[in-house]
Amino acid sequence: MMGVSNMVRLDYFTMKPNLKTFGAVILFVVAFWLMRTSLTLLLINCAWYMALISTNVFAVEEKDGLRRLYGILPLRTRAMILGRYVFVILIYVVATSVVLGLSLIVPGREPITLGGAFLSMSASLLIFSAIVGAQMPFFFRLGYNKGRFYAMIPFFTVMGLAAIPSLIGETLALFSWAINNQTMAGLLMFALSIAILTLSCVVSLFLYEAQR
Amino acid sequence: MINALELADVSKRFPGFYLERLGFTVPQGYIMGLVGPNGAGKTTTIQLILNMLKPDSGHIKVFGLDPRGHEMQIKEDVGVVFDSLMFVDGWTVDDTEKAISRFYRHWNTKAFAGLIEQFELPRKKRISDFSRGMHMKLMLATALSHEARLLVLDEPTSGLDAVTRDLFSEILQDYIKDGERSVLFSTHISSDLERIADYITFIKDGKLFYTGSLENLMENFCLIKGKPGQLTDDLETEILGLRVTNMGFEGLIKTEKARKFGDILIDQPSLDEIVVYASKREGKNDGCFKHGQA
Repeated sequence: MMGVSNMVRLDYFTMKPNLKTFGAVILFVVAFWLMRTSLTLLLINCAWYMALISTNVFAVEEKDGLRRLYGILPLRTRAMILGRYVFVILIYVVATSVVLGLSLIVPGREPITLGGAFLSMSASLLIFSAIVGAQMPFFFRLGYNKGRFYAMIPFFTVMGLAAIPSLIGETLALFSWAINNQTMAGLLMFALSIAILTLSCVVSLFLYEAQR
Repeated sequence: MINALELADVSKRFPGFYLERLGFTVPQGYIMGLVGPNGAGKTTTIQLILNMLKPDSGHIKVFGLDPRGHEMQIKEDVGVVFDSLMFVDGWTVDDTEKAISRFYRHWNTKAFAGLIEQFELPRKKRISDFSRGMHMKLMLATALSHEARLLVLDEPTSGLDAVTRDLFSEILQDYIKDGERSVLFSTHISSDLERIADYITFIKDGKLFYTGSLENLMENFCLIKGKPGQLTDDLETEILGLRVTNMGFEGLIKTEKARKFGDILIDQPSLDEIVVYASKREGKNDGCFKHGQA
């Protein structure tokens, strides 16, 4: 655990010079809030935005040759990989907390129910996990520049699926079920998110080790 | 003699490159120079020692331990300086210490502060604004601040001015003077090693050319020069890196062989010249030399 927390700390310092990017999330929330966006949409937008910027840590890692640093530090590979996942998830958690906090503070919105908020958060987490979970093994295996192309796969897949007319009806039915069974749907999405991230972490470890 | 580092029959294959059955030892308390032309396999060797790469065969021991089974313990004991910065260029010296120090059980804040002061590095300035020499000093300061017993340097002095290179040499000599600590110093600036190295390992095209004491290497090769008519077939087969011009010829020859050709000018080569001529040679004398066999 010490190795994981040290890696999270190292990632924090890695991204410290770029913290302004993360500060933009507040402006982003305020802008969407002014457009009277619902909490669900706000959290979903937050999910993809944070998925995009949290993986910038790989860009800095590649630019500054940090893999050599990871190679010489007393740090096991699995602690390094797990630490990176924890760091990325922490970024998302902090950003989501900011969004939720601002949503509660800023007046003039329709009331937010506990079930609705839980469902929105789970949906947001699922989207974040799907994007990050698909991208990170590519970044670990290929580095940021080479992996960037493959990392677009999840985005194109979702866009492709959205264009299939027969799926629209089923998706709407799924949404309807989720809205009527908010707790169950929320729990399912939460569990699915954890499963995706766990699988992604294992694949990343395997791919990273294979490079040696 | 206790060895800080041992490599035996270590091989690693990449597409287009093969590090073949490499073996050498770094005795505790000494400086080993790792030399060879670019692409010879020096950095690959260092990555294998640091467990950043896995050898296809052979074994490596650092302080008698296998890096695969004792990675954490070994990395606590090994300080590393690479040929270019391995820190985030937006960090300051203080950020670097905060980010790195937690990984080491024996991080010595006072030693780090002392080295930063000695190297005159500004603590609050972004390291992207540092010169190359300052980058190297910062990496050396971190490598020397966690009580490492083995220092591994991968081309740290390339591109540095003579004054900074001299400072590096002094620090390394100071580092090993207690007899407990050792240095593996990879460089293609052989003159740096001539002043401070006790042992030399010379790799060429992924193969070991020589490993042993610097003194032995210097004694066993000499520079041979002559006029065109003096270059016989016998002599030609004995010369490494033969260079023939209209004015004459020159090359490197083993001292014992040079005695056979008494009337030809021979001279003591520098380590640089040995590396240059030996790297140029073609085919005829392709053996490798170990501990006094050169």
